[in-house]
Amino acid sequence: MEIIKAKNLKDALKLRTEKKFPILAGGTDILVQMRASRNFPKGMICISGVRELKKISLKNNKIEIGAGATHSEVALNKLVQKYLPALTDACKTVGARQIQNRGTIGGNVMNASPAGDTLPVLLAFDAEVVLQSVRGKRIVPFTKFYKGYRSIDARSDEILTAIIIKKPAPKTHAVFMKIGTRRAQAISKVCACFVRAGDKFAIAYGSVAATPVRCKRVEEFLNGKKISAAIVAEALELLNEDIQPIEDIRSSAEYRSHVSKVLLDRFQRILATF
Amino acid sequence: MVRRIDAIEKVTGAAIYAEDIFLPDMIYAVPLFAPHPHAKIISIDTAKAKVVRGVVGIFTASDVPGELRTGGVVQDHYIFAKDVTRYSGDVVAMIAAETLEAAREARDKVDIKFEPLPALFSPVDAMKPGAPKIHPERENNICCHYPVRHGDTDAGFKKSDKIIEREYKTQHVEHAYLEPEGCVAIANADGSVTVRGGMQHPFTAQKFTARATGLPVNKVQIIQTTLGGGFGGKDDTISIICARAAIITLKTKRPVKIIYTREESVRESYKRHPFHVKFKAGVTKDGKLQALEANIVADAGAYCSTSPFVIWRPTVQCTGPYIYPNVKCDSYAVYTNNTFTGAMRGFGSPQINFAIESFIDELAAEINADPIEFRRKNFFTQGCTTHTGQKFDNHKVAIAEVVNAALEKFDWNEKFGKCSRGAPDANGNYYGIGMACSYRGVSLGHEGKDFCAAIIKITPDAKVELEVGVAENCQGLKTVMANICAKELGVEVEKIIYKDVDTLSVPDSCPTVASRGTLVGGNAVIDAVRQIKEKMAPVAKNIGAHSSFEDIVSACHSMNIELHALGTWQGPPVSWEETTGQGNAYFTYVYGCQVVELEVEGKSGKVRVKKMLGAHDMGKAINPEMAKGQIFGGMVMGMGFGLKEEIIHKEGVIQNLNFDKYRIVTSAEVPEMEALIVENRDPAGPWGAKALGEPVNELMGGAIANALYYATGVRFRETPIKAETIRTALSLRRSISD
Ligand SMILES: Cc1cc2nc3c(=O)[nH]c(=O)nc-3n(C[C@H](O)[C@H](O)[C@H](O)COP(=O)(O)OP(=O)(O)OC[C@H]3O[C@@H](n4cnc5c(N)ncnc54)[C@H](O)[C@@H]3O)c2cc1C
Repeated sequence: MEIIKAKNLKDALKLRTEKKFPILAGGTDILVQMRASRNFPKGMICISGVRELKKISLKNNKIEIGAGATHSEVALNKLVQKYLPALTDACKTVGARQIQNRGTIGGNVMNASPAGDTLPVLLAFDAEVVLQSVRGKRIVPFTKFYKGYRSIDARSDEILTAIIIKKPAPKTHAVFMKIGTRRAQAISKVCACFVRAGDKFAIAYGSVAATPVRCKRVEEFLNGKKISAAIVAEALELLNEDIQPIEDIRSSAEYRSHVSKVLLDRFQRILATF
Repeated sequence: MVRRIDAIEKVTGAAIYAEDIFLPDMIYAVPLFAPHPHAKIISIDTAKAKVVRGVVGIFTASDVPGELRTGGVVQDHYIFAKDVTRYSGDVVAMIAAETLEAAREARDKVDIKFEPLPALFSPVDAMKPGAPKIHPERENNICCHYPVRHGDTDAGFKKSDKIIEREYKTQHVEHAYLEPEGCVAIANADGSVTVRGGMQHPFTAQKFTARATGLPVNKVQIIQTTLGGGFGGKDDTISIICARAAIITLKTKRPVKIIYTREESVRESYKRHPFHVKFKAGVTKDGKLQALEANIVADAGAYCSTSPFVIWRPTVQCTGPYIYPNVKCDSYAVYTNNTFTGAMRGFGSPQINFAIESFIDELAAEINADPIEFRRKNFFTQGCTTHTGQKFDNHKVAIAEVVNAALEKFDWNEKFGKCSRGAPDANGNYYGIGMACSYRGVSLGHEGKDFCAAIIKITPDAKVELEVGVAENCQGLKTVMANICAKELGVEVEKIIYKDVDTLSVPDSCPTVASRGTLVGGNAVIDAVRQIKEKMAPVAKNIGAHSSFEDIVSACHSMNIELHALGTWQGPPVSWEETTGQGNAYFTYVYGCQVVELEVEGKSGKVRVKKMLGAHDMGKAINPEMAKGQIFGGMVMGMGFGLKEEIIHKEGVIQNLNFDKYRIVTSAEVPEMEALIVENRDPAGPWGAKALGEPVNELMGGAIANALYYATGVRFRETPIKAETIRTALSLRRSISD
């Protein structure tokens, strides 16, 4: 197998078009999948040395996170800690330290597993993904990016270069929560991100449907309301319409559905303390 | 503090594991597994595979020069599946090639035509009359049966005020050693074969390899490489892999390397037996146990392996450390088409103790007694007679002592009062503590002959070469042996040159299992040192009282007094009567108690273990730090058994072949732990030492189940007790006081 190390973004884009090889970022998903499927590509384009893809910046009220930033780099970043602590928390729960040091946020997005831990956060914050190719640049909103189980709106010559999130308004409260079998190295049974900005809510779950999902019904119900235990109890009834958990080796559909409610209820309790 | 003699090489990466061996001209071999857990093989077409570039050969049952079937107890295990597959980990062929990649590519191209046969995935089905037979040469699917008949249970039940029946179930558990199976085999010029590899018991590998190749035992040399963990799991499977490697190297005349992937390892290797235990006990109002009926059914899987011994031990220990004057026990291991099961740390005891200790607490609850007081009323006492008719008068019966020590240190009384007992706190969470205790027979007992040898050679430069017939399993055996040897000889441990087990050098010392390493190896070393000292004594006397070890060795050497010795040890006699299950099963016993404190998050059912404590009478802690390490490790492993680990079979096919889906406890969940060493020296042990490796792994499951009960008010009778189960149960909960 030919592994080509891209020198910079331009080089990576060119290689992607010419060679049509898949991208190798941290390799924590793609290598595992290759080994399991025994389906090996002729080559891979390694982007772990591309500095441009690691930048995390705040410009024009937008936080831009380079696709090549590792979970550790995202979690340790001061801007992210300040404006998006829920993302910090999500990155800190991916696998364990070793995985966080290699795995990238871009890999998490492009791998498109419904259980990807950063995805509910990005979805709840209405992130946008920046896709580039030698033909140019496209920006796709996160809500349109996931089309079905492991199916994404990306073309074969494109590279994900960054994720853009609008700087949250002051007084935005957001939390990330995860239920796994153990404290480390556990893919989520359920993960979720809850955001309250003013009297608007954004709620996204992972591992409870074929893609990460926004809970539109629950959000609409809560928007404008003053949150209370009673209101959330009503909202819980709607949650089942927003999620479709399944049974698999990690957990049962019934349990997932139950703890999804538990997490929403917990958010309500956390909000009460703000 | 004692330093492990193999620590530096391990932490610096210098230690040589099987995978680290590279030889010129070496080829690689990979297994091709059964296409179906129970099928008739119609044909194996290798035409497309053979032409893959780099393929050297494809080996199947027809290439086995010796006996096709092997096994430590019953020879029913096919080295290569022939005509029929019996579980999904059966190996149909090995593909050898110049590279691992070529071998794997060729494997994908072998075409096996097969016809599924009716398969059995539960012992209950397999025991039904008329069930298809997994081994047609046998009468039925019952692999083995052990009865115990002691007293008259009917009379005992008549005397009882309450008769209580319960059932408990446990799961398939994977050993999860860090290093998957691996070995390298070399055909020597004289027709013999040498295999280096990570096996727990080189002498089993030697016997299996000799049998399969048709070579005499002394033409098979097995040398143990650094072992990356065993927990009882590096016995049958790796020995069979050694045999296959030997067959291939003898045919190809090239060194052969076999290194399993994790998936291959989990698929083929044996697991802990799942148990289904039914208990019926009679007890009087005042809390005296009168009678016990126990029925144990274990899933043996496709092959016998060590099943008879694995169910014999819990038969001997089926009462727990409690006196029941009348006992009737029947234990069975039953063939199914699941993965075969065999030895694993504890050897049946984590399963039976989960049942016994849960049951004891349930009995106490039924008669409204305090679970500790209830235990104390029924504990074994000095000089008591057990249900196998054995009088416990040759060792200290320390059950009350270890339980008292553990509970006191844990502040049991105070914490027990705080248990939630089904009433959650304001956040919906529950708090509970639980304990479990046991007695355990040391070493092999009636399972087999109990022998061990050690060789000491003192070279003229006063270095001490030491080789012991039991093997390092990462438990620290070499360090213990070297320290016993050094201390007995009166030299620094640095003088010891430790030689890894070589089957052509030291005599077969029976397997390194049953927590026997320290006891049997230590005794053999002491015997060897005694002989050396006898040779040195007169010389030392001659050359003066203050002469150094070096001087004496040098003097002996110049006087042609050879300083080498073969030390041996033979286990004290044991006895067993097969039809009634009466006898002196083991020559001595150990006692232990473990306590756990935990919290349950009511809403998610998640359990957070906060603290674990283990108190164990090990006779004598030869190396207290390593002893504590055993207690800590055993409790954590027991926590995995109680709460998380489970090999999931679906129609006989394992669904979680790697650690992403088979979840062991990680360091992130390891709670605060405490270890209490209790020492009642035993006349049979070196410096009084008995056993520790397994007793520490047999209690946490029961302790956790009990703690969950005092927390949630719900009794969980099946392991692992997962968050999902707890959550569901809590939604149907009744509090204890109801
Ligand atoms: C032991 C272990 C534990 C794990 N635990 C978790 C967990 O708890 N939570 C979780 O969410 N995930 C977990 N994962 C999955 C994985 O680590 C994450 O999804 C990680 O973010 C993937 O990033 P990567 O850089 O390694 O991706 P890679 O494996 O390099 O790539 C993943 C996919 O994305 C493509 N790709 C990557 N970058 C780009 C790009 N810039 N442009 C276009 N395509 C790209 C690749 O071609 C590939 O198809 C775990 C993995 C392992 C091995």
